[in-house]
Amino acid sequence: MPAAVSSGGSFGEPEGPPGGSISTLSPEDRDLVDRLRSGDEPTFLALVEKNHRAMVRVAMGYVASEAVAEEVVQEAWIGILQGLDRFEGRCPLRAWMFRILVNCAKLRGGREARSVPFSALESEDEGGERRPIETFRPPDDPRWPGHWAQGPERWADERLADAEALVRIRAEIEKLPPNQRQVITLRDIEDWDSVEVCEALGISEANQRVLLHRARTKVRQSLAGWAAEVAP
Amino acid sequence: MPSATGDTGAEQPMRAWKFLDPGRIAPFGGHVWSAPSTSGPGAWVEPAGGVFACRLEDLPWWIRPELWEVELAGPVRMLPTQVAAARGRLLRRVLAWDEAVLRAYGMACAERARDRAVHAFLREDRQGEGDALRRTRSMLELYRTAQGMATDARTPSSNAVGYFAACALRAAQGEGAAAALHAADAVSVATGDPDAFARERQWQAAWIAGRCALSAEPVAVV
Amino acid sequence: MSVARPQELACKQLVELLTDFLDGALDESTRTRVEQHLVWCPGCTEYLRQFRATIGVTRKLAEEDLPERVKENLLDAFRHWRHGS
Repeated sequence: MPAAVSSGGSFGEPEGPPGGSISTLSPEDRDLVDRLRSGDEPTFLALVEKNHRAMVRVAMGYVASEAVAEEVVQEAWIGILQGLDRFEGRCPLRAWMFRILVNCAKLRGGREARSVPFSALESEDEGGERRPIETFRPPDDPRWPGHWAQGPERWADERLADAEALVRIRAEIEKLPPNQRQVITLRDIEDWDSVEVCEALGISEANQRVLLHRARTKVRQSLAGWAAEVAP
Repeated sequence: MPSATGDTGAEQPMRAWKFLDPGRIAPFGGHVWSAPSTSGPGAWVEPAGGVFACRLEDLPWWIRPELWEVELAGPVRMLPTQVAAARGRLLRRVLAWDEAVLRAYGMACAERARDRAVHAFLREDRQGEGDALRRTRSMLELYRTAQGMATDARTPSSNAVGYFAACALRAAQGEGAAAALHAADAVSVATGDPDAFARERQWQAAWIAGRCALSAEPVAVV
Repeated sequence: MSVARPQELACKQLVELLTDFLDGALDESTRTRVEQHLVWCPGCTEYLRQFRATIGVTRKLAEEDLPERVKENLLDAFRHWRHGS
């Protein structure tokens, strides 16, 4: 049984005002916490299923492998459960859960050197894949510096409906640097909003958007050659 | 009855014009405007980001497939190339605005820019190039001729002919909005006049208003 | 400088603004410049379409089952927590 992370006191929650704290939990969170405290297993399982993938991907931002990330997530759940009785509801439940997760992951990641850099997994040219030529005019162009020289080729809509598109996107996301992968997972797969992501990862809105933009740009580009081909 | 205040100074709803994508869809906000019917204007829409619309002079900046007359309520903010309000509703579709008129618009802008390009060549004693531009019989031929001359941008005429080539190509493709923008740039560069661009935009707005019989001033709703 | 209107947003700059644009995080003046550019530029219009489409398909990745043994481990932990010390 992995060691539990200490979650004493109001661990992971923002500083309360003097004279006691007021819970600002939403009714949904309130209900969730009550059910968990009463031992409701279906509620717990639903919460786990909903968040598991996001938690693994976030943990992977700090540790060397997916296997270790899975372990970290399980450790974090124990910390979450142990902290639940003392959770005061000063921030949303999910934000609190992910702070515990991030702390577990950082502790674990600090202890282990990253043995396999993620970038080593990538960049074998998928044989015969056509890369579209998309270029901008140079800065010294007399009339339209920085405008499209060769613009993006139009995508065929039926390509995007193809299951292959999902395979390619998933593959490209796996190749992203960990911090970009975290953000695109939470924003674009899990559909979190910007504020929630910043709270969970402890980054600024501006930083979050830069990471998201880089990730989306790479994913779009990875689809470009394939999606532009007219289906036979 | 909702009222408009702010820069208009009027306590009445403001009329303006609005380009939309097919199906009454806001081109950037994505929300759908409610359709007017025989019994009256469309329902008020109040999207989170507010609504934006055109005065007459703003039309060339915002061209899309559908043109509508709209009414704006609440304080209306005057911005450099549009007006903004919290909510608006559709009054009527300007049926005169369609793909054919968009194409005609692009052609008209290109013809006007061609004249300026020819004059720019004449001013630089380059009669041959001016004549070559005059002689072409189709917009595509005009594009190819102009493109062939756009080898550098060292003089006003050489520079202008490059913008003009882009204008002619777009005009040939029926893409009036792009043709118009490149035309205004061509004229601006050909004349070297800092006010020329704005004047071309005004001419372009007046062309649209005239062709679509849009009233000259937004009329307060009685 | 031979550029007609140096203040016109270049496509290379515009594509870098798209995440901010879609999040509504651009200031009004910059957002207006982006929108005005999109009215006439077919390259950027297509690029934005592709950018949005990519995000749309990425959303569909949100269906993966929890591995059974993970589910059981966690359920164990949950029971232990509720009924344990």
